[in-house]
Amino acid sequence: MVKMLSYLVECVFIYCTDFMINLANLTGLSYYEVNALVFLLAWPALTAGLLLLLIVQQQRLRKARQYRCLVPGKTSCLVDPRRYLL
Amino acid sequence: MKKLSLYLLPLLLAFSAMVAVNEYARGTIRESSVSPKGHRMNPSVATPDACTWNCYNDTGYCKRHHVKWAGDYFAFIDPLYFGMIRALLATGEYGMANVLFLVVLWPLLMSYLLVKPLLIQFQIRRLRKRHG
Repeated sequence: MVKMLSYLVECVFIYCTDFMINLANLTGLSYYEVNALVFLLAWPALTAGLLLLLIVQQQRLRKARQYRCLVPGKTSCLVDPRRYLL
Repeated sequence: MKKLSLYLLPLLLAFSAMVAVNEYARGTIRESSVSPKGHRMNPSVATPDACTWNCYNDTGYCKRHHVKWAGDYFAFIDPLYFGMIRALLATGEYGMANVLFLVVLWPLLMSYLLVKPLLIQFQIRRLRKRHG
């Protein structure tokens, strides 16, 4: 089982490395540059940006929930929630 | 189950794109290579015209012959580039660490971070409709 897993991991590793080499050759860049662009620039920037977006969205949702009508079925709210829903 | 497949969708799309690129490139490669660990799509011999597995084995060769724009930024890129390689090597299983962190965990994290804000936005819209 361990040998099979090890073989599978090796195959995936080789396939992904071949992908980076192919991407380099198809885009006219180098293997070094493609790796640097993907793992040192694009992915960290995307991860940080998406994390920030998630934090902002969670805050917006929290604010939107705070101003729900407290009495179920009541149509008017004490505070207009639309002010907080961008 | 529906939510899980939603979170995995960006990952599946990315892997499909990877397979598409590889299979397209396979038709353009004249010579592949075989290593002790498996069949490789690209050759292993060093060529100044294109990157091969030699660039994986010898980063210096790739930097000398293939780098186009990053030449002015080696001093900034190298510590991060080789730092990441050293960190993966330090685990003792470079291939496994590569696949685990760079192919599975990090893409999974990005997939989650991509889908979750969208789901939250749908929730906010539902709340807005209810109060609007």
